[in-house]
Amino acid sequence: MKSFSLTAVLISLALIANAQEQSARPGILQLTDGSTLHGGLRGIDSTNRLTWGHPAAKSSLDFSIGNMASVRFEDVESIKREFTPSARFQFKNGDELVGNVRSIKDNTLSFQSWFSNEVRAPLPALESILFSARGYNLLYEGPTGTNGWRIGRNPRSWEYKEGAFIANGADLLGRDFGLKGSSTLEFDLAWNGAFSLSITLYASVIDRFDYSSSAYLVYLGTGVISVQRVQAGSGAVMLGQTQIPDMFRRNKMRFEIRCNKEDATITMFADGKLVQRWKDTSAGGFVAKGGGIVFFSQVEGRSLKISNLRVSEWDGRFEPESMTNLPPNMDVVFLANRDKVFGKVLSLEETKATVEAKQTKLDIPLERVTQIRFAKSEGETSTFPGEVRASFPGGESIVFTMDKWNESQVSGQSRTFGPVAFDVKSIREVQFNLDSQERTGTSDANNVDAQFLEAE
Amino acid sequence: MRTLTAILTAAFGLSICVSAQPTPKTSAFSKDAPRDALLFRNGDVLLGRLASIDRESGIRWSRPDALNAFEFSPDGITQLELAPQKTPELRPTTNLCSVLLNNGDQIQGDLVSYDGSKVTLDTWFAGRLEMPNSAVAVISPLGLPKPTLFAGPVGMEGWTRGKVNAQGLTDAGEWMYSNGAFYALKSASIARDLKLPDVASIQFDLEWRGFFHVAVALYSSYLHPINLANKEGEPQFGGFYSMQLNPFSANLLPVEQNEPLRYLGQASLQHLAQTNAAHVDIRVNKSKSLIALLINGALVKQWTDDGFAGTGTGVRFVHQGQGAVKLSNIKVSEWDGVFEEPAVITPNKTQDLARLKNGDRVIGAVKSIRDGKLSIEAGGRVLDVPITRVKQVELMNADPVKAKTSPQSVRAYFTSGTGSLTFDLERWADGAIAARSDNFGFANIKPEAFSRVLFDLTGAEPQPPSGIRRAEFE
Repeated sequence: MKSFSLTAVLISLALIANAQEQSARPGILQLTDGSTLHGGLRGIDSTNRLTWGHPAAKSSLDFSIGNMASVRFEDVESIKREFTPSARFQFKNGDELVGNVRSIKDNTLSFQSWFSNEVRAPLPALESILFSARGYNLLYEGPTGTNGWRIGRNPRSWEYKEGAFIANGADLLGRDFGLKGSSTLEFDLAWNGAFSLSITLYASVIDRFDYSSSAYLVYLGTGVISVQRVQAGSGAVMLGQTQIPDMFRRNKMRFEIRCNKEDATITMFADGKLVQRWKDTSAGGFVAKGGGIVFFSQVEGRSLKISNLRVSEWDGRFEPESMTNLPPNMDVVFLANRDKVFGKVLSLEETKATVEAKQTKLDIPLERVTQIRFAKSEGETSTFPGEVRASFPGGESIVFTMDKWNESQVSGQSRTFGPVAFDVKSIREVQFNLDSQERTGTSDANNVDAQFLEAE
Repeated sequence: MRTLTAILTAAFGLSICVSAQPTPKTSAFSKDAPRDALLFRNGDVLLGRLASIDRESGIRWSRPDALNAFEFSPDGITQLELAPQKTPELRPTTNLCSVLLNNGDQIQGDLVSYDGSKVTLDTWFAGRLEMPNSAVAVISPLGLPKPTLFAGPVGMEGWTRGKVNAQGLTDAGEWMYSNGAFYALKSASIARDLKLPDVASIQFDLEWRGFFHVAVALYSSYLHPINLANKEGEPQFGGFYSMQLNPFSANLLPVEQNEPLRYLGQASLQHLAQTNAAHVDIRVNKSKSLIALLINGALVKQWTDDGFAGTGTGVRFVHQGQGAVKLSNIKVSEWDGVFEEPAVITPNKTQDLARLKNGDRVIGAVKSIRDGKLSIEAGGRVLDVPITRVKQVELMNADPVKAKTSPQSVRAYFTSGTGSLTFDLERWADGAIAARSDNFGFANIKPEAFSRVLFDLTGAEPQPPSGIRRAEFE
């Protein structure tokens, strides 16, 4: 009997231990000193103790979150919405959400979001609203594996590993995203030494180079980018070339390529900064007809890694150049016909915006508005100690002070939105100690050695 | 409160955490504090301090933010990198030898004796080690040790930071010090009078992200950067050699005021374009006006000049504005003017073989090495050769023994950058490593002898020295 009891206890303990193992959500923990640990998050308790499971650790590792940089989860559940969002809200503290405007009145923004039917925020916290005529439609976010992708001649030339594609040799990797209209392609790129990557946009053929079909080719090398038009029957024509000097002192960057089919333009951003916009001035306009994107690493050996890949439909209405040289003390309403209205947004309803411009009240149908950039204000733009940023699929993110994080839910207090609570499975990444990361920046000596650490 | 926080942070580097909830108490990280690094099999990296290693607990690790004892199984670890620690200068003795073992290990120490059956080596890190001749492949007398004239950096003190004002370089920065290394992200200059000897070896580890372009001014008497395009407009700077390095090539040019710039020739460094780190060794012999560049131990190019342009004894490192660059393990020592040759092992030999410095070879049976003398029986008589005339002794082993490795086996690489030692790690605690090997029996080893320890010896080949690793997708 005694033996049975002991066995039962041992089995129970094993089951508990196993349950603890299972409860760890797989991901990557980054610390502010540059340390990186794969494993799983087992929880964050009310004393800011983060418990991490690591495959080589004999027991859980308990960290104070004071030195945590981020946790990025391997898998994330897509956000479920019962509506098509038509607006993207950008806040001064970096928060970004998509949803539908309900109203702006009494200096308060109200909108519909996936986590609440009515989210309220003080207007001074808002930086801009981008309206999409077609709604925000995410075509792809990943990678999560090689399913749906075509690899060129050697299946080992591109390898999927922990949320990233790694090029092991000169070969291509393509996927048909069903691109039809204007689109945006975003991805993180990390590289070793010299590299050369071509990206075929709107490719009709995704498993080889096919110069008999029309597409656009973006060539990306260390510090340099060029764009070519490939037109069936006419060959390739260079649209332009420029340099990205930051690439000379970096080994990774985030790129965004916006293709505007109506204007026949391709616009490149690197780490959020506009690099250049190229226009295809040929008579046929945007020549590419396919729906795929093909990455081609042109260097033998393990030279680059692509991660955080996102392809979205885009209505093409946001023009980055229009953001420069705007008066900081006025609201600016951008209209579909490229006009701008300067003044103060008095109110916003589901169908119209009321703007006071030069002592005149204008009612503007919302369908004509592409973007509203709000005046700079004394509103808080920085983050506070203890605040974290949670990022969700589709590029949404919220800064808040965390109250608790358990297996199913994280809750806290947002300075913009008040109390917030989310299903933890919908969080792709959580960043900690935002204030100290802001203070030190990436080039500070405190962190500079972390850039030289060996971690994949 | 925010302003105060910002001021304190800016002024003192303090990390202040204010939270609505109580935060477990931890020490703040110091950027200057030396840190060990644990590299995991899955590519993870964890900085901190090694506390101990033993069979029961595995690897115990400490960090300022750790709230419990971190214990790792060695199975999941590939490598331990140890923060630089001060090591003693080798005693000036003519018995200094390098012993190459059959398993690839290489150990330096004072050769006490070889009696035909075992080699006895006196080391600063483990005392006397006795190795059976079946384990030993080659004994190479090293002669008097070359004193290290400078080893660092250990901080900014003693270094002169200069502003780079070259045309077109508007984005000037500064070299920063952190954890035993200098870093520069923008154009920057740092210099020091390192008292370069007339025949010198100047070594450093270079790591970079993206591209890099670094100019190393040698034998300079001036510690501020010189704009070569406008050198006549610079203050009196004497003369120096500028070694210009980038991932594709190395150029050398003597720089003197009122003299035209001359390029002495270019060396190709193409292989650096596909990596992120290199060990650079610049050898100089003033009397021969010779400057040589070795990358990762291999001679890349020798340049000779008509006369020697350098007028000082200082070195200046100038980041030319491209790439993020890390500079570490800077070491200056005297050089004997001879390029090292790797130990040669003659295959299928049937007797011992002594190679002398004058090129002669003596084949026979080594009877002993002791009291500064090699005794070798050859052609029916015993020859006594002063050890100072011997380049290397190859021992013939009919049945060479490679010490067996076990799951506890590790290979530790010496801080000096030369050689390694493989052993079963029984315990690492309290400033001592309890080590056991078929090659030398049991030894208590001082941990500061090693810069890194390789855990996973399954199929592992000896690795390049620390710092010469390929950093992949940081």
